[in-house]
Amino acid sequence: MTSNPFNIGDSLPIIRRSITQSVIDQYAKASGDFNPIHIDQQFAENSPFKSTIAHGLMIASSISHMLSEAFGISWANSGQLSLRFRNPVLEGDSISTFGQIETIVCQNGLMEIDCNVGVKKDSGQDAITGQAKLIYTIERGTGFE
Amino acid sequence: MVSILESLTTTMDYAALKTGQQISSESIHLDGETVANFRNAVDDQSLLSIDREGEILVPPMAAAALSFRGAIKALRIPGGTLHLSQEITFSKSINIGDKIQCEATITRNSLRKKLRFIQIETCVTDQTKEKVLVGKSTITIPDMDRNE
Repeated sequence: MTSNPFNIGDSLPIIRRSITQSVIDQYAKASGDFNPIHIDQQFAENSPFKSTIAHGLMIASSISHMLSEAFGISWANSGQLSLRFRNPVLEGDSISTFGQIETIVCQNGLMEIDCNVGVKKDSGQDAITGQAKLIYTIERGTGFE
Repeated sequence: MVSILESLTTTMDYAALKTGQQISSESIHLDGETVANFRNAVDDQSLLSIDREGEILVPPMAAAALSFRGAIKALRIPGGTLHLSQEITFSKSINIGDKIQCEATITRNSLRKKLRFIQIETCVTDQTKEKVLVGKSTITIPDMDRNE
Protein backbone atom coordinates (compact mmCIF):
# COMPACT_ATOMS: atom_id res chain seq x y z
CA MET A 1 0.00 0.00 0.00
CA THR A 2 1.35 3.45 -0.93
CA SER A 3 0.74 6.58 1.15
CA ASN A 4 -1.23 9.52 -0.19
CA PRO A 5 0.98 11.96 -2.12
CA PHE A 6 -0.94 14.90 -0.59
CA ASN A 7 -2.21 15.88 2.83
CA ILE A 8 -4.54 18.56 4.17
CA GLY A 9 -2.49 21.65 5.02
CA ASP A 10 0.20 20.99 2.40
CA SER A 11 1.50 24.18 0.79
CA LEU A 12 1.72 24.35 -2.99
CA PRO A 13 4.96 25.37 -4.75
CA ILE A 14 5.46 29.13 -4.86
CA ILE A 15 5.81 30.77 -8.29
CA ARG A 16 7.54 34.18 -8.23
CA ARG A 17 7.68 36.78 -11.00
CA SER A 18 8.85 40.34 -11.53
CA ILE A 19 6.34 42.20 -13.68
CA THR A 20 8.25 44.47 -16.03
CA GLN A 21 6.78 46.35 -18.99
CA SER A 22 8.65 43.98 -21.27
CA VAL A 23 6.87 41.00 -19.66
CA ILE A 24 3.49 42.75 -20.02
CA ASP A 25 4.19 43.58 -23.68
CA GLN A 26 5.20 39.96 -24.33
CA TYR A 27 1.91 38.75 -22.84
CA ALA A 28 -0.08 41.29 -24.90
CA LYS A 29 1.43 39.85 -28.08
CA ALA A 30 0.94 36.23 -26.98
CA SER A 31 -2.68 36.73 -25.90
CA GLY A 32 -3.81 39.36 -28.42
CA ASP A 33 -4.99 41.73 -25.66
CA PHE A 34 -3.63 45.17 -26.55
CA ASN A 35 -5.78 47.28 -24.22
CA PRO A 36 -3.87 50.56 -23.69
CA ILE A 37 -4.10 50.22 -19.89
CA HIS A 38 -1.54 47.42 -20.28
CA ILE A 39 0.79 48.72 -22.96
CA ASP A 40 0.47 52.52 -23.32
CA GLN A 41 2.34 54.32 -20.54
CA GLN A 42 0.97 57.75 -21.49
CA PHE A 43 -2.62 56.44 -21.41
CA ALA A 44 -1.97 54.62 -18.13
CA GLU A 45 -0.50 57.69 -16.41
CA ASN A 46 -3.92 59.33 -16.76
CA SER A 47 -5.70 56.30 -15.27
CA PRO A 48 -6.47 55.88 -11.54
CA PHE A 49 -3.46 53.53 -11.30
CA LYS A 50 -0.98 56.08 -12.76
CA SER A 51 0.85 53.15 -14.33
CA THR A 52 0.35 50.33 -16.78
CA ILE A 53 -1.10 47.18 -15.19
CA ALA A 54 -0.58 43.51 -15.97
CA HIS A 55 -3.36 41.54 -17.65
CA GLY A 56 -5.52 39.73 -15.08
CA LEU A 57 -5.20 36.40 -16.89
CA MET A 58 -1.42 36.77 -17.06
CA ILE A 59 -1.26 36.96 -13.26
CA ALA A 60 -3.86 34.18 -12.98
CA SER A 61 -1.59 32.03 -15.17
CA SER A 62 0.89 31.92 -12.29
CA ILE A 63 -1.77 30.17 -10.21
CA SER A 64 -2.39 27.62 -12.96
CA HIS A 65 1.40 27.18 -13.25
CA MET A 66 1.57 26.46 -9.51
CA LEU A 67 -1.25 23.91 -9.79
CA SER A 68 0.39 22.23 -12.80
CA GLU A 69 3.64 21.93 -10.82
CA ALA A 70 1.75 20.42 -7.88
CA PHE A 71 -0.73 18.12 -9.61
CA GLY A 72 0.60 17.56 -13.17
CA ILE A 73 -1.80 16.37 -15.84
CA SER A 74 -4.63 15.99 -13.29
CA TRP A 75 -4.80 19.80 -13.21
CA ALA A 76 -5.09 20.04 -17.01
CA ASN A 77 -7.75 17.30 -17.13
CA SER A 78 -10.04 18.31 -14.28
CA GLY A 79 -9.05 21.65 -12.75
CA GLN A 80 -11.57 24.23 -11.63
CA LEU A 81 -10.59 27.79 -10.73
CA SER A 82 -12.70 30.49 -9.15
CA LEU A 83 -10.77 33.75 -8.79
CA ARG A 84 -11.40 37.34 -7.67
CA PHE A 85 -9.06 40.05 -8.91
CA ARG A 86 -8.54 42.13 -5.74
CA ASN A 87 -5.88 44.65 -6.74
CA PRO A 88 -4.17 45.36 -10.05
CA VAL A 89 -0.55 44.35 -10.48
CA LEU A 90 1.36 47.41 -11.64
CA GLU A 91 4.40 47.49 -13.89
CA GLY A 92 7.40 47.13 -11.53
CA ASP A 93 5.57 44.97 -8.95
CA SER A 94 6.88 41.57 -7.90
CA ILE A 95 4.40 38.80 -7.19
CA SER A 96 4.32 35.35 -5.67
CA THR A 97 1.63 32.71 -5.65
CA PHE A 98 0.29 30.99 -2.55
CA GLY A 99 -1.80 27.89 -2.14
CA GLN A 100 -2.72 25.33 0.47
CA ILE A 101 -4.70 22.07 0.36
CA GLU A 102 -7.89 22.52 2.40
CA THR A 103 -9.79 19.28 1.87
CA ILE A 104 -9.13 15.87 0.36
CA VAL A 105 -11.89 13.37 -0.32
CA CYS A 106 -10.81 9.92 -1.47
CA GLN A 107 -13.36 7.93 -3.44
CA ASN A 108 -13.03 5.02 -5.88
CA GLY A 109 -9.28 5.42 -6.12
CA LEU A 110 -9.50 9.13 -6.94
CA MET A 111 -8.67 12.12 -4.74
CA GLU A 112 -10.91 15.18 -4.89
CA ILE A 113 -8.68 18.03 -3.73
CA ASP A 114 -9.78 21.55 -2.77
CA CYS A 115 -7.21 24.33 -2.29
CA ASN A 116 -7.22 27.99 -1.45
CA VAL A 117 -5.02 29.83 -3.92
CA GLY A 118 -3.94 33.34 -4.79
CA VAL A 119 -1.29 35.81 -5.75
CA LYS A 120 0.29 38.33 -3.39
CA LYS A 121 2.29 41.40 -4.29
CA ASP A 122 5.58 41.93 -2.45
CA SER A 123 3.88 44.91 -0.76
CA GLY A 124 1.71 42.31 1.03
CA GLN A 125 -1.43 43.26 -0.90
CA ASP A 126 -3.52 40.45 -2.39
CA ALA A 127 -3.69 40.64 -6.19
CA ILE A 128 -5.90 37.57 -6.62
CA THR A 129 -7.65 35.25 -4.18
CA GLY A 130 -9.71 32.18 -4.90
CA GLN A 131 -10.31 28.45 -4.81
CA ALA A 132 -9.07 25.59 -6.97
CA LYS A 133 -10.47 22.06 -7.20
CA LEU A 134 -9.36 19.01 -9.09
CA ILE A 135 -9.65 15.25 -9.26
CA TYR A 136 -6.21 13.77 -8.77
CA THR A 137 -5.39 10.58 -10.62
CA ILE A 138 -2.02 8.87 -10.51
CA GLU A 139 -0.73 8.83 -14.06
CA ARG A 140 2.47 8.19 -15.95
CA GLY A 141 4.92 11.06 -15.53
CA THR A 142 3.46 12.61 -12.39
CA GLY A 143 6.21 11.18 -10.23
CA PHE A 144 3.96 9.26 -7.86
CA GLU A 145 3.45 6.00 -9.73
CA MET B 1 -14.28 40.87 -38.25
CA VAL B 2 -12.96 43.70 -36.04
CA SER B 3 -9.27 44.60 -36.41
CA ILE B 4 -7.12 45.24 -33.33
CA LEU B 5 -6.74 48.93 -34.28
CA GLU B 6 -10.49 49.26 -34.76
CA SER B 7 -11.11 47.54 -31.45
CA LEU B 8 -8.99 50.12 -29.65
CA THR B 9 -10.38 53.20 -31.36
CA THR B 10 -14.08 52.45 -31.57
CA THR B 11 -16.53 52.01 -28.73
CA MET B 12 -19.82 50.22 -28.92
CA ASP B 13 -23.27 50.35 -27.35
CA TYR B 14 -22.71 48.03 -24.39
CA ALA B 15 -26.26 48.56 -23.11
CA ALA B 16 -27.54 46.84 -26.24
CA LEU B 17 -25.75 43.57 -25.51
CA LYS B 18 -28.29 40.87 -24.69
CA THR B 19 -27.93 37.92 -22.35
CA GLY B 20 -27.48 34.82 -24.49
CA GLN B 21 -26.01 36.80 -27.39
CA GLN B 22 -23.00 35.11 -28.98
CA ILE B 23 -20.33 37.73 -29.56
CA SER B 24 -17.53 35.73 -31.12
CA SER B 25 -16.66 32.40 -32.64
CA GLU B 26 -13.04 31.77 -33.44
CA SER B 27 -10.93 28.79 -34.42
CA ILE B 28 -7.38 28.76 -33.05
CA HIS B 29 -4.58 26.43 -34.09
CA LEU B 30 -2.39 25.79 -31.05
CA ASP B 31 0.81 25.32 -33.00
CA GLY B 32 4.24 25.10 -31.40
CA GLU B 33 5.01 28.80 -31.93
CA THR B 34 1.71 30.03 -30.44
CA VAL B 35 2.17 27.85 -27.37
CA ALA B 36 5.87 28.74 -26.98
CA ASN B 37 5.01 32.46 -27.12
CA PHE B 38 2.45 31.95 -24.36
CA ARG B 39 4.78 29.81 -22.24
CA ASN B 40 7.53 32.43 -22.51
CA ALA B 41 5.15 35.30 -21.72
CA VAL B 42 3.92 33.65 -18.51
CA ASP B 43 7.24 31.91 -17.77
CA ASP B 44 5.49 28.55 -17.41
CA GLN B 45 7.50 25.54 -18.54
CA SER B 46 5.41 23.06 -16.51
CA LEU B 47 3.82 19.96 -18.05
CA LEU B 48 6.55 19.87 -20.72
CA SER B 49 7.70 16.48 -19.53
CA ILE B 50 4.18 15.06 -19.39
CA ASP B 51 2.67 13.92 -22.63
CA ARG B 52 -0.57 12.42 -23.80
CA GLU B 53 0.13 9.61 -26.23
CA GLY B 54 3.56 10.97 -27.08
CA GLU B 55 2.55 14.59 -27.68
CA ILE B 56 3.40 17.66 -25.62
CA LEU B 57 0.67 19.31 -23.59
CA VAL B 58 -0.43 22.94 -23.82
CA PRO B 59 -0.58 24.83 -20.49
CA PRO B 60 -4.32 24.92 -19.69
CA MET B 61 -4.29 28.69 -19.18
CA ALA B 62 -2.97 29.21 -22.73
CA ALA B 63 -6.25 27.94 -24.15
CA ALA B 64 -8.23 29.91 -21.57
CA ALA B 65 -6.42 33.18 -22.34
CA LEU B 66 -6.54 32.73 -26.10
CA SER B 67 -10.22 31.81 -26.00
CA PHE B 68 -10.90 35.19 -24.37
CA ARG B 69 -9.22 37.00 -27.30
CA GLY B 70 -12.31 36.81 -29.51
CA ALA B 71 -14.46 38.41 -26.82
CA ILE B 72 -11.94 41.21 -26.30
CA LYS B 73 -11.96 42.03 -30.00
CA ALA B 74 -15.72 41.72 -30.37
CA LEU B 75 -16.47 43.95 -27.39
CA ARG B 76 -13.86 46.58 -28.40
CA ILE B 77 -13.08 46.80 -24.71
CA PRO B 78 -12.12 50.39 -23.84
CA GLY B 79 -9.23 51.49 -21.58
CA GLY B 80 -10.42 51.61 -17.99
CA THR B 81 -12.10 48.22 -18.23
CA LEU B 82 -11.30 46.00 -15.26
CA HIS B 83 -11.34 42.23 -14.96
CA LEU B 84 -13.20 41.50 -11.71
CA SER B 85 -13.42 37.73 -11.54
CA GLN B 86 -12.71 34.59 -13.50
CA GLU B 87 -13.99 31.05 -13.29
CA ILE B 88 -12.52 28.28 -15.42
CA THR B 89 -13.29 24.58 -15.60
CA PHE B 90 -10.80 22.45 -17.53
CA SER B 91 -12.19 19.11 -18.66
CA LYS B 92 -9.59 17.74 -21.04
CA SER B 93 -5.90 18.39 -21.63
CA ILE B 94 -4.87 19.88 -24.98
CA ASN B 95 -1.88 18.90 -27.12
CA ILE B 96 0.32 21.09 -29.26
CA GLY B 97 -1.12 20.98 -32.78
CA ASP B 98 -4.74 20.77 -31.61
CA LYS B 99 -7.33 23.11 -33.14
CA ILE B 100 -9.76 24.63 -30.68
CA GLN B 101 -13.08 26.32 -31.37
CA CYS B 102 -13.89 29.19 -28.98
CA GLU B 103 -17.42 30.58 -28.62
CA ALA B 104 -18.07 33.61 -26.40
CA THR B 105 -21.56 34.48 -25.16
CA ILE B 106 -22.91 37.28 -22.96
CA THR B 107 -24.35 35.80 -19.76
CA ARG B 108 -24.96 39.01 -17.81
CA ASN B 109 -25.18 42.73 -18.61
CA SER B 110 -26.12 45.22 -15.91
CA LEU B 111 -25.47 48.82 -14.89
CA ARG B 112 -24.68 49.69 -11.27
CA LYS B 113 -23.35 53.03 -9.98
CA LYS B 114 -22.24 54.21 -13.43
CA LEU B 115 -20.34 50.98 -14.04
CA ARG B 116 -21.43 48.39 -16.55
CA PHE B 117 -20.91 44.78 -15.46
CA ILE B 118 -20.63 42.25 -18.26
CA GLN B 119 -20.20 38.52 -17.81
CA ILE B 120 -18.90 36.52 -20.75
CA GLU B 121 -18.92 32.75 -20.98
CA THR B 122 -16.36 31.14 -23.27
CA CYS B 123 -16.85 27.56 -24.30
CA VAL B 124 -13.91 25.80 -25.95
CA THR B 125 -14.04 22.50 -27.83
CA ASP B 126 -11.27 20.62 -29.62
CA GLN B 127 -11.19 19.18 -33.14
CA THR B 128 -13.13 16.11 -31.96
CA LYS B 129 -15.91 18.47 -30.68
CA GLU B 130 -15.12 17.48 -27.10
CA LYS B 131 -15.38 20.27 -24.53
CA VAL B 132 -11.95 21.19 -23.18
CA LEU B 133 -12.81 24.18 -21.02
CA VAL B 134 -15.50 26.63 -20.01
CA GLY B 135 -14.59 30.08 -18.70
CA LYS B 136 -16.70 32.77 -17.10
CA SER B 137 -15.21 36.27 -17.01
CA THR B 138 -16.77 39.25 -15.28
CA ILE B 139 -15.53 42.65 -16.39
CA THR B 140 -16.60 46.19 -15.59
CA ILE B 141 -16.63 48.84 -18.28
CA PRO B 142 -16.78 52.54 -17.35
CA ASP B 143 -20.18 53.93 -18.38
CA MET B 144 -19.52 56.03 -21.48
CA ASP B 145 -22.20 58.56 -20.47
CA ARG B 146 -20.21 59.50 -17.36
CA ASN B 147 -17.93 61.89 -19.23
CA GLU B 148 -20.68 63.57 -21.22
